[in-house]
Amino acid sequence: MINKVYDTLLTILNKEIQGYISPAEFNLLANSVQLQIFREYFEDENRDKNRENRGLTNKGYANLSFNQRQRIDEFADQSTISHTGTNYVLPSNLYLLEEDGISTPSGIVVEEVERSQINYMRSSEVAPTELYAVYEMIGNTIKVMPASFTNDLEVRYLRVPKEPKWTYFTLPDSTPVFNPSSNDFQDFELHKSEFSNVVVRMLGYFGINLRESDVVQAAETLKDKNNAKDNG
Amino acid sequence: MATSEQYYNSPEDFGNYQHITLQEIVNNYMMSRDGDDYTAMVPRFKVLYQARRGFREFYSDVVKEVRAIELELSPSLMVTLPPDFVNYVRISWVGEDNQLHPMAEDRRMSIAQEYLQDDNYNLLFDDEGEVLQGTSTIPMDDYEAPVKNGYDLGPMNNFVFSTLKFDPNTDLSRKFPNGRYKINRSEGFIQFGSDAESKIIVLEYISDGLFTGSEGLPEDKLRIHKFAESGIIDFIHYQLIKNRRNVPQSEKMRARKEFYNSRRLAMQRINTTRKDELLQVFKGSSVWIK
Repeated sequence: MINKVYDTLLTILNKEIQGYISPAEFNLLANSVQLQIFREYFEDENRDKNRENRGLTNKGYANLSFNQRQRIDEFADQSTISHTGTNYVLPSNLYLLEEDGISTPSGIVVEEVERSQINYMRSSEVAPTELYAVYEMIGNTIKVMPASFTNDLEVRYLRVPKEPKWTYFTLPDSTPVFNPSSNDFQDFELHKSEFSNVVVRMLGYFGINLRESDVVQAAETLKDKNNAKDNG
Repeated sequence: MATSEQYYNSPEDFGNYQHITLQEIVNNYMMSRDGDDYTAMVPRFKVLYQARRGFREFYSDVVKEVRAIELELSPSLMVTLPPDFVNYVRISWVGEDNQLHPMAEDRRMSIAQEYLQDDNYNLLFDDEGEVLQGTSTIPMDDYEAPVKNGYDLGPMNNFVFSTLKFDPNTDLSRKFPNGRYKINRSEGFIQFGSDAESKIIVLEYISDGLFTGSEGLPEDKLRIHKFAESGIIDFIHYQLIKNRRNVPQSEKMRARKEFYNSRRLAMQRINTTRKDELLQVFKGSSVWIK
């Protein structure tokens, strides 16, 4: 997908021979756009679920929240973490934890508790037990209560999207040529349906970079149209 | 799912099918919530808290599972309340015929805690400023019911009402032919009259179901009859929404009615009235009371 995006951008901006879009610029903005779209998935999911709750979606391909979840689940991951010292260290590629996504291998859920509630909760009738353990997040670690709880934990989470990288080799005339065989090649990880979305957003960025207001205007108009369609 | 053979070879599983654990109730509630439920965002520990409250209420009010312990009464004439005691049903002693003889509560027995005083009647305190306490100057055994008209009630296991002379002015509520006791709830023991010494005492009591051993049981071991599940689920829902601002009053009222209705149904289902039992009761209705 990444080369198709690159070529499409060059075509639209008509800059192929002038080389104003360098691979380095493209890679930098590609990562930014990918993260931006990824972050918006969660708001979209919330919007689709609200629609669902109002009875505005249907089964099958019209099940928007299910479709949205498929896009998000491209980044789903799972790993096992162990007790080290007093805490558990979370996976390094963690972007967001699933709600109730931390459990023992036997399926006992370890629940997240807001830090402001922990002290009252610990001295109440439902203080944490091995069966109803809770955790609070501290940086990239979690502290599980009760302190006697040291079981291994399975973590379900969304990982950080990998940075897209358009790799290339250069011809004698310095023209970059796409090289997907390179070791550090990385395609976009977004769903294929996001192709036009990526192009439009990158177009906006390059338009701003190139100070070409027509391009920016066109990109913004296209984006607004897409948004209006999504929210309709 | 265990096979029949496995079941019959596992005494700890006998009768378990009629029960559901507190953990299962909480998990079922968490699992069954939809995204647009009023309680969809409520964390599990709050659901667990309400589930425990509901469990307690249903265990003592609906299920009414009576537990019993049997102890030989020591010379101290005191029995410590069981760890899961909430209220008692009946306190009896066991006769030689192995029949239970229900005792009566004597509310006049003193359970007062004595505060120590000096010669000027001022209270005495220890180094930490706490009042010094002694033993009551009114021993329980001194609280014998006054014997009127020379009635000798005799030892309680030989007492027969029919030996009493007729006296319409005798207050029989002050006679304790089967023995007497007083419960000291704050100190956690039952004090008995001296005539019950060395007898086998049977205490039948109700627990709230949440504490069934010396250390209490985890939620996956606390169990209640399946017929109570719907009622507890409705209790949880009602308790979780009743103080929320964004829940309409109509929903709160509906949830309240549903909870009371499911409690009534649970009570009816668990305490089934059977035809044979009614017939057995009616058989005694023609007996003449002399």
